[in-house]
Amino acid sequence: MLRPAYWLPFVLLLVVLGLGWELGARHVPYLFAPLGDIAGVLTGDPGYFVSNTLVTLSEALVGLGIGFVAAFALAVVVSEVGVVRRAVMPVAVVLSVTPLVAIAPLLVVALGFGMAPKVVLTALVCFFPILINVAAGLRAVPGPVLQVYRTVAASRLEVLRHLRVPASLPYVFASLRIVFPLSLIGAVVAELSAAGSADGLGSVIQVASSQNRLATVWAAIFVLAALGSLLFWLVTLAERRVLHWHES
Amino acid sequence: MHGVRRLYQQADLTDTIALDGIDLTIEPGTFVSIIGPSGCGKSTLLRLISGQEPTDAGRITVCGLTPTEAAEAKAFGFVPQSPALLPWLSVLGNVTLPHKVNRRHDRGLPDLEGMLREVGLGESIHKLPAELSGGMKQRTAIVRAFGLRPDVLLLDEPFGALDEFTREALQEQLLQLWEQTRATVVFVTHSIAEAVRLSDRVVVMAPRPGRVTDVIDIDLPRPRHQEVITSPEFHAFELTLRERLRDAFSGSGLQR
Repeated sequence: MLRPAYWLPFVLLLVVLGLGWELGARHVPYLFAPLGDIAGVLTGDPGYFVSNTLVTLSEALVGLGIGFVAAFALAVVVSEVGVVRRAVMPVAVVLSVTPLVAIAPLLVVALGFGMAPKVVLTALVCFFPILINVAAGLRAVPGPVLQVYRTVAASRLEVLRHLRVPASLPYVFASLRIVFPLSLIGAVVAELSAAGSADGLGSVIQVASSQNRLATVWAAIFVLAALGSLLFWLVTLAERRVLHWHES
Repeated sequence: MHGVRRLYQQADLTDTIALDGIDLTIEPGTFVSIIGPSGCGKSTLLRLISGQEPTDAGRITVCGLTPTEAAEAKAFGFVPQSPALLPWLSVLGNVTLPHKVNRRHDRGLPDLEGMLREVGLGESIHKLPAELSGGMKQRTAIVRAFGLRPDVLLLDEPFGALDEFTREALQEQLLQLWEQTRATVVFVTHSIAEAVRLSDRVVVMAPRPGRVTDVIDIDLPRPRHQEVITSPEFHAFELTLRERLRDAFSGSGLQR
């Protein structure tokens, strides 16, 4: 049993938020839906939310996967070849602080209403944070360590495999903690931009809000919040497993 | 080494001479220390010997090979000032990894666990570096270098960051390992007592430009245990060395 001092503040805040929400639902009914209605929508047709969640989740994860593989490969090139590094990194930094989700409408026009624009947008928003972090991680091997292994004539490939890639893992996980939530944002924004596309939580929100079904909009948003938390928790769990040697 | 010179380009594109006119012969199987004030190019000299950097003039041969060829043949073991262990590998993993690179020229795995036990790391073989003290980490780094069975061991102030007691214990263990292998050792140090205790010869260097000013033979009998430090002969060598170092300082225009 945890002591009340540990959980009470959190529970109190939840109660206050819940009461505030109900108050909002009474006075600003075009923004808030009563929590009871939201719960009703969720329990009324859980299959609807599960299938749409799976659509959004698969778009996010496929996009993230593609973005990760591409970014990691480029990070290796960037860390090994100085010319490429000096060319690519300034561009990467600018693009990583640009809200790339803004090109979602263009991607929908170019790629249609299917899965493609969602996956591409997700891959794109995940790409640059991963590239920047991993490129830094691959170069995080301390000089004396490199000297020890260069003194025994380790090849560049051996240095990469035995020193650089393992040293980059803390940076890899730092980037994953950033891009897992980003991948959901990418997928949802692409769905929101594809007016009329049938599936995914973003489409659910888009359609329901146009029909003024507020409870459904909020139900989808709560599912997204839960999904984001779950992904974040999974990354943290994996990180603790893999990086048991790392101080933090 | 014959007439070795090494230049470094400064930010303003002028060259500074890091090392100049280095003529030095190190007999195989001897323990040689290099001592001198900061900035005299001691560490640079180690990097030149192991082929990490090219010479700008002069020639270095190691067992009849160029430094790069010797490194390719795994002739070197290197111990830096920081232990430079990989934090994700155990002590045993750290001393084994150098054998997994450049395999073609590897000289075979010795009894690494036995060597670790010998330096008092028997209980720590499967521990991660984060669980070790500074002295234990540095002992791991020394076993990593000796485990390669190199012809030449290069140590760059390996005990510089340790306290006095740990330092003396590690000197003893270093000598023990060395008596067994009889590799050639080039040992960079700041410490006069350390140089006298460990070495067959001490090379005194001076800065600006980095150069050799003196070579002193230390003919104290081996094995040299802890007791040797208090002997009058030891003291005499310390005094000589201190004097030569002072000359190296004043010769370079520095006052103490």
